[in-house]
Amino acid sequence: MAPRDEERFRRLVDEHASAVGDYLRRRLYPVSPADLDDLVEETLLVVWRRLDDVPVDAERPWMIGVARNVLRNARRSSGRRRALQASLRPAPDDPPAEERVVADVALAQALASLSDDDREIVTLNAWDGYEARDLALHLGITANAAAVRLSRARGRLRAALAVGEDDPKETGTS
Amino acid sequence: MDDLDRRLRAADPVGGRPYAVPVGLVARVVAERRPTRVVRPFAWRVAAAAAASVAVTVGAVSALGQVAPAFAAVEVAAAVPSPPTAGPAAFGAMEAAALPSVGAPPRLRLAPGSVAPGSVEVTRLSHPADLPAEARRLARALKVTGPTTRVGAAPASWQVGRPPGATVVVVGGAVPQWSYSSSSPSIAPATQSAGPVRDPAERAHLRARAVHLLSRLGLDLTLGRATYVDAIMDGASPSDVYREITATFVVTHAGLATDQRLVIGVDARGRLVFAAGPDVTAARDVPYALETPATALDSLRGGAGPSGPGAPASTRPVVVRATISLRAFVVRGGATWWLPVFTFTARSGAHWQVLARASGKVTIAPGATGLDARGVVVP
Repeated sequence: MAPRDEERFRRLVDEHASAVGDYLRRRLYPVSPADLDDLVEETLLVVWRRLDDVPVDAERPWMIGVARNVLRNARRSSGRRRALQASLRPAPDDPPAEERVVADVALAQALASLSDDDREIVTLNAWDGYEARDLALHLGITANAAAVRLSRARGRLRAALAVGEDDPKETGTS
Repeated sequence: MDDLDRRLRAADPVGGRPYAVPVGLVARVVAERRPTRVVRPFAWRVAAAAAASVAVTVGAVSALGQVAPAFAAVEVAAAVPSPPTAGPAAFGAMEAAALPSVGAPPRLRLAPGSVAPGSVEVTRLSHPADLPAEARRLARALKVTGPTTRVGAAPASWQVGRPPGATVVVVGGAVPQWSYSSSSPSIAPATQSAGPVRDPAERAHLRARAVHLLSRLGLDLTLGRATYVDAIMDGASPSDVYREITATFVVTHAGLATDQRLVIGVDARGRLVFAAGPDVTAARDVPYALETPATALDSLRGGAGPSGPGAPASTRPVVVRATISLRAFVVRGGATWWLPVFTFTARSGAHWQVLARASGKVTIAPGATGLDARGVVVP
């Protein structure tokens, strides 16, 4: 690799690696720091190997897309060994009881009731700061389509919340 | 920002604690260019870390009689998870337990009310005192070279070697664990298919490998029953596949199954790909008075839920199996003991665990978690 490649890679890490780590942590929560570091490293390894493919105008969405694939691989391949040891050990990082107590249970349940795609688009927007253009790059659709899908997904989230809460503000009714 | 946005942001798991890239990660990535073909320890490290990270405070336990010096006013931590099925409260509805009668019950299969052993040997486990030194010792035995680095703080974890090369990790905690991973690719391959190992010779070979490995590591552990899995996984290229055979052995002591496992995995060429297990040895055996399974069942019924004649018969679980095994608990002062627990299994598959303590010999303080006041292991 040329020095400028390494320089670009280091800049990508400086500007986007934190967002990659946050993306992975949000989708794997709770996750141990060591495992999170592993997944970030896997993601950055792919970025490094495919540095020439990273679009200059969409670096972060591209890197988050890699993280998404890494996450899928990790989940798929870890299942077997987890099953082997299911009788032996618990989940390593159960959230503390206090976190459960203060959690927005209704929202968590409503999010869980969404499809994977809806949940992804809603959380990318709310947590990762993705606007329609970023969502479009991430999902491989047009910006208009992304905006429509985001709107519909949020509508379904509001509806799911309303089922549990019957809150007129959330349902948009009066 | 509307109310929904505010709620979503408040529920963000990151919550104002942005991820920080570890020092040295970029240098490792830039130096890392070569994919290889064996399994990365991602999932494995999850499990190994888990074993030592679950020090669930249980409460004060005081014991009298033969084991009084070890257990007097002790604080206990369960080192393994509780049964994943229904908890002891559900058991409170049970009115009567029925077990199939067996002519000559195996030692580990006890019918409530039958004559159980009056005592078993409970065992204090010795821990490695110096985790980094232990990691280096194991690494030498496994011919793993490289720097010794701290890879975890709670519990303390030390690693010798550095991925993608072979590594040895030792994780401290209630029951310290060790693991070995051979050189690995960046991402664990996906499993294409998996099934049992059917060839008895192959199973025997794996067992011999495991016994030899323990000997090589200087770990005095006995292996009991095992589960063998033969898996075909994605290889380094689309036209390539990778075979891995895994054996998971129950560690036994004094004829009883314990809550610990030894796992080894070898590839199609017989090379050790990964291995892991407890880093403990039995240091001291003490006779421990047992209660009968029937008494243990009573302790499950008492004090929780609608026990007694009020419960409809149709809702009462019927116990079909009772087993005794050893489970690790940490007593005040930090020592870990394998203590006997009864596991009762209902026809539905639900099961419950209770400390097999002689009545009056062990008391558990109120407010304990992990064990309730009756000695029932709380999920």
